[in-house]
Amino acid sequence: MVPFSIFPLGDVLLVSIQEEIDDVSLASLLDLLGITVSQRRIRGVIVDLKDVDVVDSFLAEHLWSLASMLALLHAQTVIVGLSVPVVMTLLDFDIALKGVEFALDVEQALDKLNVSKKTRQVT
Amino acid sequence: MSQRKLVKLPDSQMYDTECPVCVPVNKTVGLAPIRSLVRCSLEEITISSVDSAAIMTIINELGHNILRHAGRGKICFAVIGHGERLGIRITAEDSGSGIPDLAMALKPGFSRDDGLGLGLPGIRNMADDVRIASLVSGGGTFIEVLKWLS
Ligand SMILES: Nc1ncnc2c1ncn2[C@@H]1O[C@H](COP(=O)(O)OP(=O)(O)O)[C@@H](O)[C@H]1O
Ligand SMILES: [Mg+2]
Repeated sequence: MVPFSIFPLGDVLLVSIQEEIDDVSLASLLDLLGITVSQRRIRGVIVDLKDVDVVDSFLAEHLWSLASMLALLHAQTVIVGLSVPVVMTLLDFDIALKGVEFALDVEQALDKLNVSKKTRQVT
Repeated sequence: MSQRKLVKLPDSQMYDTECPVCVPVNKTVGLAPIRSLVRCSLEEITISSVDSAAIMTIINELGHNILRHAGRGKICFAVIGHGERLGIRITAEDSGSGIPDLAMALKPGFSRDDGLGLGLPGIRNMADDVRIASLVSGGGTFIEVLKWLS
């Protein structure tokens, strides 16, 4: 089983990352998202990290690459589901994650991306 | 509450320690074994979620550095005590190329390849004490991290 899942919500993708995602899976997730976003004219990708207990500089680096890549494809990246301990460790890293938006949960991210209530109910 | 046996080791005047448990880190097994060992160990002590997130993050950073910059090595983990205080000691060891310029490597944003260069500076912020011994000419790298629990 792959350690991530991708769920389409209209022209927005909801991506959940599982706890112990390895570098090979991360790389294939990035590839897959690049292709899907450009082919399906996706305008926003929500990355849900609620199942991830450690966001180290390695994962942060990939999230940052993802956001940069998606920005070039005119899609916005919104990270949701960071726990308080994870936020504290990110502060210790001085990771700014420029170009990445944050929201508390998926609902708030959908608001940020102006996804209509109707689209949300389809799924 | 901890049932763990902390003993005074002859080579440490600083703290009492249990026997460290060491786990190999390499491209075949990755970081899963060391991560599950540390997670199990942390479940046996009273620890805040912030401390345990910091410790798991330190393990990940040390592990990724071994995989990325040295290929393989090992990480050891032990609970330590000093009076009433409880802490953890992590060591990471490899026989890779070593770190030519330590001061540089500790600067936020410095990376030999195109990494973020935030691993070592981040570990320094999260831990109480970090010692790095590195011999350039193939002598490898040894990193010791101490963190007292809040
Ligand atoms: N175990 C190691 N063996 C050799 N070099 C290392 C090791 N760990 C760290 N380094 C060196 O220190 C630099 C900084 O490490 P770090 O702060 O973790 O950043 P990054 O891993 O993103 O490059 C690395 O780019 C590398 O040159
Ligand atoms: Mg690193």
